[in-house]
Amino acid sequence: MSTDDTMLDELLGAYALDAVDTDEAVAVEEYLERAPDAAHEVARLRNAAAWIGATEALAPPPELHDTVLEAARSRRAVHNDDPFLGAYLSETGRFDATLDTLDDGALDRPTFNGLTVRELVIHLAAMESAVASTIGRPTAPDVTETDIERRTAQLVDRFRDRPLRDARALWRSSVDAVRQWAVAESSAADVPLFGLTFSRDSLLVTRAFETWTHADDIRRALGRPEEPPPAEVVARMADLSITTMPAALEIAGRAHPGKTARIVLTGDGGGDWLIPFGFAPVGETPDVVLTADAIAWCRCVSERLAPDALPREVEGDPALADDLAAASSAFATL
Amino acid sequence: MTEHVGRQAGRDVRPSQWERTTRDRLIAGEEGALNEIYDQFSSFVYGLALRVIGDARAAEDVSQDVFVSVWERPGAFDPDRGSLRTWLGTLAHRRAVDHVRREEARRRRAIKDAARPVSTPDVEEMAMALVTAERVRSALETLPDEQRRAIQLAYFGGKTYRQVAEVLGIPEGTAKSRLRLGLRRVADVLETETVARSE
Repeated sequence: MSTDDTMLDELLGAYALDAVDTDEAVAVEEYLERAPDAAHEVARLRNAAAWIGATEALAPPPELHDTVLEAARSRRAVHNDDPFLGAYLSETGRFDATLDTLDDGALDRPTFNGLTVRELVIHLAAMESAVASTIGRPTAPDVTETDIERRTAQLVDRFRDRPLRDARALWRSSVDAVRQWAVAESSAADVPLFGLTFSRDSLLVTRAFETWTHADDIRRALGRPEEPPPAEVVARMADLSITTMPAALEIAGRAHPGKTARIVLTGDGGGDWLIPFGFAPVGETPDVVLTADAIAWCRCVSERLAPDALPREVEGDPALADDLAAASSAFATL
Repeated sequence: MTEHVGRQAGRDVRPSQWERTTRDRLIAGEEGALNEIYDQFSSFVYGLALRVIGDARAAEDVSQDVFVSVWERPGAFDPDRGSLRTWLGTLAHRRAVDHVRREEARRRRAIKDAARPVSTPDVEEMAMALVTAERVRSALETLPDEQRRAIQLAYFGGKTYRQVAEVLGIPEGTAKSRLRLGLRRVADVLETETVARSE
């Protein structure tokens, strides 16, 4: 065992008691990913810590019960019959939770697209407030810039010397605005945004998709493992990405009129689709069958996985499979 | 409910059927499941938050955050990695410690409150929890003073091991070691007493 591992072992007790700082927690968590014995010890120690906490159990004021239920209801509707809003709330909720875990030292770390963690949060606030504006519920009415990069730059400037919670508050109020709109709005609504037109349902899934992408950008910047969304959310993202593939192929200049592709996504949220290779009717026999993991496909769609790096099984013409992988990210923005 | 009888409180092995079912119900968006975990664990979460933070209002906020976060992302709880109690305890403790460390001024209020009877859906878990909490209280008493003190400073005081070392006037390595050894002893007690009970 290396000296570093010995030092990390010595931290396990402090880690289980949350008595380390962020950098140390990140280092321990990385260690736990590759050292099963250490992971087992931490599980034991966390359990012991929880029981130490239990020695102080005390019934809360009775009013807390209703407060909690109301807060929960407002954050996540019972969405068995509304998987689109469910996807949006799932990913914004998870992003919010990631923000809880940031300390000041984390904010200046660079992320995938060159923005720092702090700038990335501001960027999401810029995006979400732009959506709120477009649906008629502006949360930053004095910011009229609609170009993504310029809007982000404007808000980065505005929030430069302010604590992150200010940008987070703008993002949260924008999420609330979108949620309230979504609850009231039917699926048929048409929303023009960033040069495209979205239905209510596809807008919610697109926002969920971007929010998840950036949450993982932040986790990666902090050296933490990526966290895929729940299966039902992956299913909505995968479905949206594939139903827009014909358009994506056209935009990417990789359409093949008359040809048909079958895309099989495996794992949580996977599915099986038959699509035309562009704006043409779909044929019955696929010219290519591309099989890939659903989450890896979604990473490819969001440009977090390069097309040639997408692990895949192909039946038929591999060049057509390459076209599919390459075109998948045609709609990816920042 | 043979599944509950087979489940050992304090040991992170073999999650109960209630936990798995509850998790599935939360994922499906059943509000009744949220109600149940609140009834089962609110005293645990609130008491722990209050003990760390020392402010009832903030403890309520933290408690709310914990239950809302489980409601929003029930899939984040993995029954194979630990019990729901441990999961909630970890969420609560982290948030409570974050609160303590972020605040510059801390107000402490003495809170005296009689324990109120609460209905608990998983009656066996609750009964075992009361017994286990007592055992852990005794286990803490029998720890060497230096280990108990270090753990209390870290866990309830929200201090990092460096701060613990400073407060106690000991090297950082000694602080780390006391925390680890003390926790291991409590973990040992938890496992020994469940083995004894199953005989």
